[in-house]
Amino acid sequence: MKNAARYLIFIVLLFDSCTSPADRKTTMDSSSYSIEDDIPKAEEKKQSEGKTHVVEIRQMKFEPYEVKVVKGDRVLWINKDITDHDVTELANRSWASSPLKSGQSWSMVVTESVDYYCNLHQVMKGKITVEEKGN
Amino acid sequence: MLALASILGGSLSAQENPKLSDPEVAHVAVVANQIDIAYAAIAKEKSKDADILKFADTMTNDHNAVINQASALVKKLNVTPKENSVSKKLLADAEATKKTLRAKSGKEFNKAYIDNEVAYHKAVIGAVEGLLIPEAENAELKALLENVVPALKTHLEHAEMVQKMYK
Repeated sequence: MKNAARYLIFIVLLFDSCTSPADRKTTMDSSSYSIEDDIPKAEEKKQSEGKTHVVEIRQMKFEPYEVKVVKGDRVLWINKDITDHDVTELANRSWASSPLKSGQSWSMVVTESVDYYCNLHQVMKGKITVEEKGN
Repeated sequence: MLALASILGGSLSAQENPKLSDPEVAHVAVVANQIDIAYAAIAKEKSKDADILKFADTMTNDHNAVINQASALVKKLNVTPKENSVSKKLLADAEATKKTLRAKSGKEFNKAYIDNEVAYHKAVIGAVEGLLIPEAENAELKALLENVVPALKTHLEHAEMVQKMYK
């Protein structure tokens, strides 16, 4: 098992080194990680020393409603509700997670303040506010 | 549609509440979810409107999730849901509503479907809060019903939002 895990990490690193820095700086690096992903931890360290903020989805609410982060921090959503939910940018639907089943999670690195909602239950809303570092 | 809400609201939540055993409460809960899935199936068959279809999809998924939870719980509690006057009335009313919905098409259908979703969710919220939760004796069954209320209220808000598009 250990060997398999090492091999996997090796592959991930190999893959990662193939990505150009420009790719890596995309504003929302949501594409590479999705549901129940263990692998981001390896990359997270390299990417920045950003904190991870957890938003729980329960009883049809994003909790907390608003998270205040520093640019480059990661936000992790965990679906603890009985129904599926997703996380979708509100204004233009410019990014979205895939539907998360109960128990599944999804994360992304945040670089700008944004309002978001659940596209499956459009009255469910949340907010991420990026604050200046050191203030 | 309003008649449905008042019949349901009137008979299920106000004055003379019928006495229900836990197997009967469970049956009403499952039937109430199945009915909304049946309405959603008609919408998927008859509507081409993206908002209506998306709403219907959410109803199918969410009400199935609730049924799965309820089924797991009755299995755990070793309870067999039992038909009763309330679940029979729900089914009879639903048959009439399905007939009305099937007779409509196009924009008229979309409006009728979403109007009914608003009315039905109001009625079911009334029934769950006013009858099923107070009648449920088993703590886990009560907790499951209490857990479902936020979803029903979110559905109602969502339905009211979609309804505004068809005024």
